[in-house]
Parts: sequence; C-alpha cells; structure tokens
Amino acid sequence: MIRAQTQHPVAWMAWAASGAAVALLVRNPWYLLLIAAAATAVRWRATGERPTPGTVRAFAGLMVFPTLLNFLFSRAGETVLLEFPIRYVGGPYTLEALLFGATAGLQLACLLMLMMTFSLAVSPTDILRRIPSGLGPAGITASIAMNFAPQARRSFEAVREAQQVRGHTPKGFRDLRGIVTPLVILSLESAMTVGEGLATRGWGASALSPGRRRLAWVGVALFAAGALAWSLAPHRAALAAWTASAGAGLLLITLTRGGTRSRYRPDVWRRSDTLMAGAALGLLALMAALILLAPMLLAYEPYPRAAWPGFAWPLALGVSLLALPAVLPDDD
Amino acid sequence: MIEIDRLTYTYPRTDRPALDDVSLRIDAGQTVLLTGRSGSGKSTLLGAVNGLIPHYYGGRVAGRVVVGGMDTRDHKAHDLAALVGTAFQEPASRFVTRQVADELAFGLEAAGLGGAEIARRVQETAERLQLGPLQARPLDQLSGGEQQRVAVAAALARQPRVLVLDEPTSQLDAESAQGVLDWLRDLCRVDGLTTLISEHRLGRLLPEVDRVAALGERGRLEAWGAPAEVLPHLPYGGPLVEAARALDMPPGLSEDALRALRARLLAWRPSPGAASAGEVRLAVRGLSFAFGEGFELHPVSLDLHQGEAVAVLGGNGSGKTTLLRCLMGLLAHRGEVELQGQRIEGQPVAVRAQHLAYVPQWPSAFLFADTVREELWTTLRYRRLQAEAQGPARVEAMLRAFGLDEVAKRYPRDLSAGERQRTALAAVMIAEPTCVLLDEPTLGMDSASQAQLARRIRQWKRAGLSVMVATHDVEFAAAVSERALVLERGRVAAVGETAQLLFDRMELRTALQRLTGRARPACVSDLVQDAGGEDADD
Repeated sequence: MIRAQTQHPVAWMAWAASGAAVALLVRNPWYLLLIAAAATAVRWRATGERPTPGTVRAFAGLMVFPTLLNFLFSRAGETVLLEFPIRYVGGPYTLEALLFGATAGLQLACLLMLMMTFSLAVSPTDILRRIPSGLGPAGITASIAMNFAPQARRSFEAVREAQQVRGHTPKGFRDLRGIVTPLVILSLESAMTVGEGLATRGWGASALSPGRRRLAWVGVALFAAGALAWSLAPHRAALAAWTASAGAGLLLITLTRGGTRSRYRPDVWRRSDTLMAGAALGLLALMAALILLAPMLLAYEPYPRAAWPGFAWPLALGVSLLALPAVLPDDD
Repeated sequence: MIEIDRLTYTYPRTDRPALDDVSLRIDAGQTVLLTGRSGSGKSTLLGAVNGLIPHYYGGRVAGRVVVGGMDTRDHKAHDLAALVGTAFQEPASRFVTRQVADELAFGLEAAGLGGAEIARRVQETAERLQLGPLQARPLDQLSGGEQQRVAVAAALARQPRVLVLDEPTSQLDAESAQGVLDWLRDLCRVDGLTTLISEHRLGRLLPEVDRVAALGERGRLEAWGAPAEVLPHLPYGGPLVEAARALDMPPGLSEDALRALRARLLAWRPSPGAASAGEVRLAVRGLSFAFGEGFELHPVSLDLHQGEAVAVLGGNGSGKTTLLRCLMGLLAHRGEVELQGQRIEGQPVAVRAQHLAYVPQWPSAFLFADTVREELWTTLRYRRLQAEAQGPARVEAMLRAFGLDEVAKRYPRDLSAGERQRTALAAVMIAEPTCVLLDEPTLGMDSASQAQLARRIRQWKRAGLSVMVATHDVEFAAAVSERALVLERGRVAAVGETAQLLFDRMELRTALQRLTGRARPACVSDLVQDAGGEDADD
C-alpha cells in the first residue's frame, strides 16, 4: 500500500536532483552505498514493502554488466588477477579494472533507485501541473511521454501474463524479442488514451491567446537573436546576453502568467518540506564546494593500484541527508 | 442542444466511413440512448459530440456538429470540455491522477475554478455518487466498477450541460449500475442535463430515455425516435422484449404488454430432464488469498463437473477476478486445487494452461500479434504444436468456428469488443483445454455477441467442457450456468442452483424473475430451450 504523498513535489524534485548529482559526481563506493541505502529506506517507508531478494538481484544484475565490460576490456591496473598467453584476449585482467567497473555499475544502480523512488512519490500529474499554463497542448504531449514508462511496465506485465496463460514458459532474455513490439504498441496506445482523457477534460484550454502567442514569438526571436549575436560577435557578449535574457524573460512571462488553471488541494509546503529541500540544497552546495576545494574527496581512483577508498565523516553525514524523507514525521 | 447535420466521418488511413450521413437533433434536457452492434460507430458518434473527432483523431469529415452553439469544426475537445462531460469505457486507462478526489478535481482545475469552489464541488459530487469512502483511496486499488463510478463522477464534477457516456455501466454490478442510472436520471431532470449515452444493456435503460438512436451496419442511422417507436426496429430490446419475442408476442414496454407477458410466463412450465453432472473436473478446497492489509479472499471450496458451468457472482470488488487468477496460478494462494485428479497448486501458469484456459477482463492486453490469424498461431507455437500437419487446418477451423474468418487478416486491437473477445477465446480454445475460466466475458459486448457467447458456452458444455465464468451480469449467468457461487467482500455468501439462487437474493433477480415473482423461467434462453430453437444459428 502506497502511503499518501506527504512531501511537496518540489521538495521531492530537490531531493532527486541532489541525489542524482551526488551519484553522478561521486565515484567513491562508500558514499554510493550510502545513497543506495538512503533511496532504499525512503522507498521502503513510502511503500511499506521491504525490499525483496528479487529487487536486490535485479540491481546486482544491473551492476554485473558494466563490471564485466570493464574487467574484460580495460587493461590498466597493476594487480593482475588473470593472464593467459593468448594475444589480444589473454589479458591482463586486473583487480583495478574490476573495481572501476563495479563502481560505475553502482553509480547506475544508485541513479535508478533514486528515480524509482522519485516516480513513486511524484506523479506525472504533479509534473504536468508545473508546466507553464501557456504550454497546455505541449502538456498533453508531455504527459503522453511521461505516462509511457509506467504504462510500459504495466503493459509488460500484461503481455507476460497473457503469454503464460497461453502456454508460454518465460525464458528470461530470450523472450525480449517477442515482447518488445507488443510492448511499444500497447504503451503508445495507452499513452494516447491518457491524452484523449486530458483533452476531453479541458486540459490545454488555457493555451495562449493570439496576442500572447505573438508576444511569446517575440520572446523566442529575441532569445535566438541574442544567442546568434553571442556566437557571431563574441566581443559584444554583454549586449547579446541582455538580448537573450530579455527574450527568455518575455517568454517566461507570457507562458506562465494569465493561465486559468487552479489547484484543488494545492500541495501544502510544510516545515518538513523546507527541511527536506534545505537538506537537498545543502548537499548540493557541499558538493559544489568540494568540487572546487577538495575534488579528491569525491573521487575514487582504483588505478594504477587498488586501495581502500577514503572515507570522510562530514561528507558521509551530508550524503546521509538523502535518507531524511524516510524519517520525517508523517503529517503535521 | 446538439445538432448533427449530415455527418459523415472516416478515420485516417481507412476507406470506409465510420459514420455515414447521420443527422440528429437533440433538445436540451433530453436523454438519448445510442444503440447498435459493436463497431457500428457509437463511440465515434460520441467522439463527434465531445470534439475528439475530428481534432484529436484526424480523418475526413463532411457535415457538421453543433453543440450548445459551438461548431466542433472550430472548437477543439478542450474548449468543448466546459460544455460536454465525457466518461469512457475502460476508465482506468484514462485516469490522470492517482487519487479519487484529485481525479474529480482535475477538470475543475483545468477550468480554473477557485480552490474553495473546487473543494465544494468535489465534496458534493462524491456525496451524490456515494464515493465518500473511496475519496482518499489510490485509483489503481479500486475495482473496475469503482473506477467507472469515479470516471462518471469526474465527468460530472464540472457540471457540464451535455453528458456523453460511452457504456458507463458496462463494468458495474446491477446494483451500482442502477444507482448510477437513477442518479443520472435525477440529475438530467433537475439540472436539465442533455445526455447521450451508448449502452448495450437496453433492458435497464429503454424505459428511462426520451429518444433512441439505433446505428446500423456501416455507421448509418437506422432508427430514431421515442423508445416505443424504435423498439420494433431494434434487433435486441432487453430481456423482457426478447421474452415476448420468444413467445411470439408483440414486444412492448407498456403496462398492458407487460401484464400479458407476465401471464404467459406464469403459464410456462419447465421441461423435465436436467442433465446429470459428470465427473469432477476441477476441485477447489479451501482456496484463500491475502493481499497486504487490503483485500482478502476467504477460503473457497467448490467442485466443477464435466459439462457444467458455474457462475461466480458478486458485486464489484467482491473477489471474483482474484478467485479466477488464483486458479490459473497468476496469484499465489493457499489451499488445494485439483484438476482432473491431479494437484496443481505448485504448477506454473504455462503448465496449467495445458488444460485450463483463462480469458481476462478486457482482452485487449491479451492480444498482441499483428493479425487475428497470427494470434492463433502464437498459441500453437507456445504449445509447440505449430509443426503439426493439421496446424493450418486447425487454425482455419477455429477462425470459422468463432466467426473470425472475415477479420483474420485484421489487427486484433482494432476490432470491436465482441470480435476482440472472440479472438481471445479462439486463441485459448485452439489449445483444446478441458476447463475454461472466463472473467467478465460480456464486458463491452453488444447483446447479439452476448447471446452468441451464451450459445457457445452451452455448446462447450455439451462437448464435455467445464466452464467457470465470473460475471456481474445476472442475465448472462442465468443463461449459461447450472450453479452459481456468490462472493461478497471476499467471502462465499451463497452456493446453489443458479435460477433459485438468483431468485432468493432480491438484488440478483433477473428481469423475468422480477416480473413473475418466480424462480423460473429465469431468462429468455429457458424459453428458447423449451421451444427447441436453441443454437439453430450458430
């Protein structure tokens, strides 16, 4: 049972953004493991379901591919694990290559875990609602796109089930070929159906009036002119920047102002959201500072000779802030 | 309020028009029932009224549609949304939020109403449609019927002047459906709402509507007028009308006509000669299932004999689908299941599928091949039977048996609901199962297809197949099954002979039972069987 969403979507966006930034910037496995643990805890709290061995296997499987890839094709590193007297394919196969591949796999797994937790907490509609009201029809397209992935998962399950019911024994990867086409078709069809529902319920009605549309085009033109001037006449960068900014500002105003959309139950911004978003932004700031001041703290470089990755308590504490949504009180 | 003037519409990349020269004039406050076989263009006509046609789908249009003064050629669906509320079939696939209250509010938000006004309207709509307890629940945890009610409520929350409903009660159990229809009738009366509703189950609606539009083959308007005028032209007029026809009486909805029908039905005597039950094919002992803290199916025990059909009845969310999915092995359950004397609890789905056929609700997810013919071949390939010499003959025979030879080359998901259901049935029946599990097989099917399916099930029984059909359609249950099992909130509430069981439970009585106050005849097929005219046309 999914817990009713308690945190503000914007707080969740900040959480996901900072988590993803850390996962992309950091190679140090300690911190990556912390991110994975935090994402798991948050997801556990949200769904009330403990992580199953199946999930653990799925993520382990995800890590295997980059690990093997790097182990097989990277020749760098001093700690040789295997070497065969065959040209090209004989190695050396090194521990360092294995570790480097594994940390890349861990990064991938972390990103995926963060995104899975995020998509659980924030619905496509939450994002849809944050699309400027002037872009109503684009919102329909966006929602079709955003619904594609969750629909694809559902369609995948439906197709798999239908195949089994008709006597097909699942064979893992070998099934993929037979499943991809129906999957894409089913998902597209269902995404289109969602769009149909949006249209008949008035979404997109607040699209731009003709005057506003012209104004928006002026904004686009100004922005384009600024960008063009920047590339053609770099010595007049200031003028170009002003022009582009004016265009962007005009565009933003025409698109966001004057929409007729409103909110039932507008998401309430609570103290806990401030805390969550603050922690996320704080973590981002910490990352930025570390990149400038002590980039070695973030990195983990197994080459040329593997060593234990370093561990800094302050950074670990910072990364642990990602687990905050798992311990925030349910409701004010 | 709605003026359709010589409308001809052709979908993109097709040659044959879906609607052909249709003209209708619907006054404000009228309730119009749109009827016709699956694929006759009912949904298309509804789409023409809410503006999805032509703007959303594209295609070629001739003629014009004016709704409340707005020409649909100049106004898109989102502009018309203030005026026209729409609820579709398969509502789950069109939800845009995750919670009931948010879904009700969505259209109001798009309209830019104030927060307090939205809250008031959401509350009012939820109360009037009796959605109170559902309001805080996630949409994906609602049963099909609950979802349909939410969709209707969401369409009404914006208080449109025109309501377009595409088979709104097809997923609802009799009680909820009647609740929705009563509520709609009140709303139409009080608010002067103009309603255009497409529906297969005419029995329920015919007495309630002002006008009936009957679409014939190829999207032509065949009949248009008051229910009594149109009735003789309709191929199917609901159980009472069909009973009158079966007894060679003039069909009618007037008091006199019903009184005459009642007298004839009371004089009817069932023919003796009940079929003796064969061996036990499927034995279920204490089967139970629990899903988290939410739904629970309490122990069910049941024997399904050879050549017998058992109906699993119950309201929306009572556990009918869960029971069937457990039997098929799609859900892990407790308790014992024996198929032809062999325990099958631990068997994977694919192994069970050798003897057990299962067709889920909404078979559209079930069909994934490029053509109807290919669907049948897919099953044969899965079962490694494709190399058999008689393979092609078997496929062609199956296509003919299910009336699919004309659409064999078509894309299954473009077919009408009835054709899709037949394709799904053919795709599982080609494996020659001994036991068939059908989940709500009549959903979205027109009456002719339903009657055809009922005949088909009776044929299967004579051939020795065992059938378990989960349905909320009591007329269909009475037409196909010997015994029935009623589930209520996951518990077995009653088991027994179908006609008697339906009769004993007031809310489940069939139209004929309500009219006569007797258990039998329970349905038209009782009369037809008696007359010896059964299955002549299959």
